[in-house]
Parts: sequence; C-alpha cells; structure tokens
Amino acid sequence: MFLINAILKGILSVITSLLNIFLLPINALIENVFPDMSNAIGTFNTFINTYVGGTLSYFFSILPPIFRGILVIWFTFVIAYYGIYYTYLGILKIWNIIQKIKFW
Amino acid sequence: MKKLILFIFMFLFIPIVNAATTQVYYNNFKHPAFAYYTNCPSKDNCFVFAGQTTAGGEEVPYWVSPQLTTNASGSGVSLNFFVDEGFIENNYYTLSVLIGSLYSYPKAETSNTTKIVGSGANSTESYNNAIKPIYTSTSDPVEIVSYDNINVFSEQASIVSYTFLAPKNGNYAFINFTTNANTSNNQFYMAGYSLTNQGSKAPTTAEIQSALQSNFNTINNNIGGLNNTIQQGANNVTDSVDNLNDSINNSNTDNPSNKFQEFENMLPENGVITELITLPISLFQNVLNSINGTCTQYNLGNLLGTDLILPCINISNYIGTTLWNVIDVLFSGLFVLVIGRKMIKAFNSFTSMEEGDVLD
Repeated sequence: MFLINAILKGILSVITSLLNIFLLPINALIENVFPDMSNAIGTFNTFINTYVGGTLSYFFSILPPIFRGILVIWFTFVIAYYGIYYTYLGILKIWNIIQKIKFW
Repeated sequence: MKKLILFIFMFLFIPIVNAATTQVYYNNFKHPAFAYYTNCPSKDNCFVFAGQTTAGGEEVPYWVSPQLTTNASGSGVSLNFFVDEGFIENNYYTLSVLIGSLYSYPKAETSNTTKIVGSGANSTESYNNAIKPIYTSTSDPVEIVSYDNINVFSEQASIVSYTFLAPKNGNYAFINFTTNANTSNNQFYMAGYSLTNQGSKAPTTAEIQSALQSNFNTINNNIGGLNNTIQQGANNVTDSVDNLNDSINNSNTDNPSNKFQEFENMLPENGVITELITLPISLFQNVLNSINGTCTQYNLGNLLGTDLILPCINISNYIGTTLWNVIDVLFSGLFVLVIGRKMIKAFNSFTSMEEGDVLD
C-alpha cells in the first residue's frame, strides 16, 4: 500500500509540475498585473486546503485500516483508468485533425 | 690482614647460601612467566598473569597450562608440581595455583556458563614420606570481563592453594592438585602458580586467606592493566574505522537524492492559478497523506482566543479491537461488493464495444 501511495503522490506531483509550466505566463500575468486578485485567489486556495483538505484528512484518518487500503487501491485504479482514457481521447482527436489536413 | 680477608669472605658467602631459594616446576618445566610480571613487588609473593604479544601487537592472556578438561566421570584433572631446592626446615609453604577460564561470547549474550571449582590439593608426597596438608582452600570464582569492539572476553579465575610443612627428609616435594569444573564449558586453564614461604610458624587460616586475597588483588590489577591494553587496541581500531568513514563521507560521491533535489529546485514555484486548478489534486494528496498515516488531530483555528482542536479519535480504543476489526472487514466487504458490481458492468460495456466512459 505504501508503494502505491508513493507512486500516486509521484504522479500527482508530475501533473502539478507540468500544469505549472504550461500556466507560467498566466500566473506571471495575474500576479504582476492583478496583485489583489492574486492575493484573493491565494487566500481562497489556503482556505480550501486548510478546511476542506483538513476535514477530508481527519475523516479518512478515522476510517478502519483495511478499508483505507482498499480505498487507495480504488483511487489508483480510477486515476489510471481516466489517465489512459483521456490520453486515448486526446490522441484520437489529434489523429483526426491530422487526417483532415490536406497536404496536396 | 688474614682476619680481614676472612671477614670479607664471610660476607661474600652469606648471600650465596641465602640465594638457594625454592624452585617450582610444572610438568618438569620451570615456567618463566614470573619474570614477565614487572609490577610484582616480589616475584615469590604474587602470581604471574603473563601476557604474550601477537603478531598484530595485541597483548593477550597467556595460559601456562594446556586446556584442562574434566574427564568423563567428572573427577577433574591433575596438576603436578615438583618443588625443588631451598626448603627451610620447619618452615611452611603455600603453593597456590590460579585456575582461570577464558572464553568469548557476543555482547548481546550475558549468560555465564562456566564456574571453576578447584577442589584444592588432595594429595601430596615427597620421595621419602607423605606430606599432609595443613590447609587447603579454593577462592570463590571471580569473573573478570574484558572486551573489544566485537567480543566480550570473560575470564574467571580461582586460586587453589595448598599449605604444607617443608619435607624433613629431602629437598623435594611432588604436589598434586586436582581441579574440577562443574560446567559444560571445560575451557579452563592454569594461569599461573606461586610458592610462598610462610615462615616457621604455622600460618593461621586468616593469614593464608589474607595472603591469597593480596595475591588475587594483584592479579586482578594486572588483568585490569591487560584489559586497558585490549581496550586501547579496540579504541585504536575504532578510531581507524571512524577516520575511514570520514574519508568515505568526505569523498565526492554522487548522491542521487541530491540530483533530484537540484531538479526540484529548478522548477518554478506554483502560481496562484496553478494552485487553483490543482486544488482537487492538493485535496487528494491530503487524503493520501491521511490514509498513509495514523490518527491525527484537526486544528480548526482560533476562535475568540481559543484554539479549536478536534482530538484524534482512535475508535478502537472505545469499542475494542475485535469489534473495530469486524466493522473494518464489513466496510471493506461492502466496498468490494459495490466496486465488483461496477467492474462487472464496466466489463460488459467494454466487451459490448460501447462508446464512452465505461466506468460512468
């Protein structure tokens, strides 16, 4: 279970890092041009992370251990499934676009 | 002039006559171990717990006798001594033998398997007539422990002594000791021996015991010095290993975790928009952390100067481990049942080539 947990955390970190790289210009724009808005969004993020995240943590830490293990496995499966599913859809769309391009 | 020369010769001869001291032989060999002990105040009055230096420069105990093993009947083994020359008539002598055991065991074990019980001298005889002992004794075994960085060396020693009157009709005495060991470990040896002149007055038990105690204290001190030598050697080895470890730590080795850390430092910090979009991921990471860990408390913040903290609830402490496990299994079973149904449905959708999300 610890291994699955570690893999999941790694995947999530990679996704977050990639998103951050793509959103780098927008982040810079918001933070520099609209500093008050940036602060407001930051406060909201902190609030959600603290209270919603804290509540979820507290709730899940109360659950019995075997059940928690099965939950982790299920989460892993769902994430893997949707990851593959949406990747497949994305590749399919790109393939369709390529097919519509006329090179002659 | 002649008288003067005669007077001088008298003084020269007296020491020569007095120099004829007793000699003790073990197995027909006068062991030179006495000479090794430099701290001995008088070589006739103390044992020698001799040390020998190995090729590596380490000083280790040196046993005078080969290993003494108890025979099958457990009646012990004999130590035969031959005392020669220098007996002073009507004087009492005490032959004392140090029986010791040296063995090693890992530090974790503290079991003590060996106890030496020298039975004392039980017979003696000279060429001409038997010599009856007036006193025999065996000191209580004393355990002396030394150690290095790997092993513990346990040394046990007892003094077996035998006091007798000098033989009248000859200058020779054969003395036989019998030793027993009530142990499964028969690795005991003779560490040294000593013959002490007690003078013409029959020594009392207290005097002999005092003399033995003095001898034993001297031996203990000597072993203590030996322990220090061993400890010093062990310290030197430990220092060398530490130095080697330092060298290895200081060398330019590539630590993979450092590389990952460098890569992570190169990444930009998450911006507010990124954090907003990745809120579900952050929440999910929180859930994962709580699943991985144990019971936690929840701080809701400060309200009117009071911290609002939900305490850690360990339900099994309230309802008992057995009931909690039963609930755990029931929850898990129910969950697996729901997931199973969902998976069967998904499998059917997949095999029917239905389009869209099969898990939906």
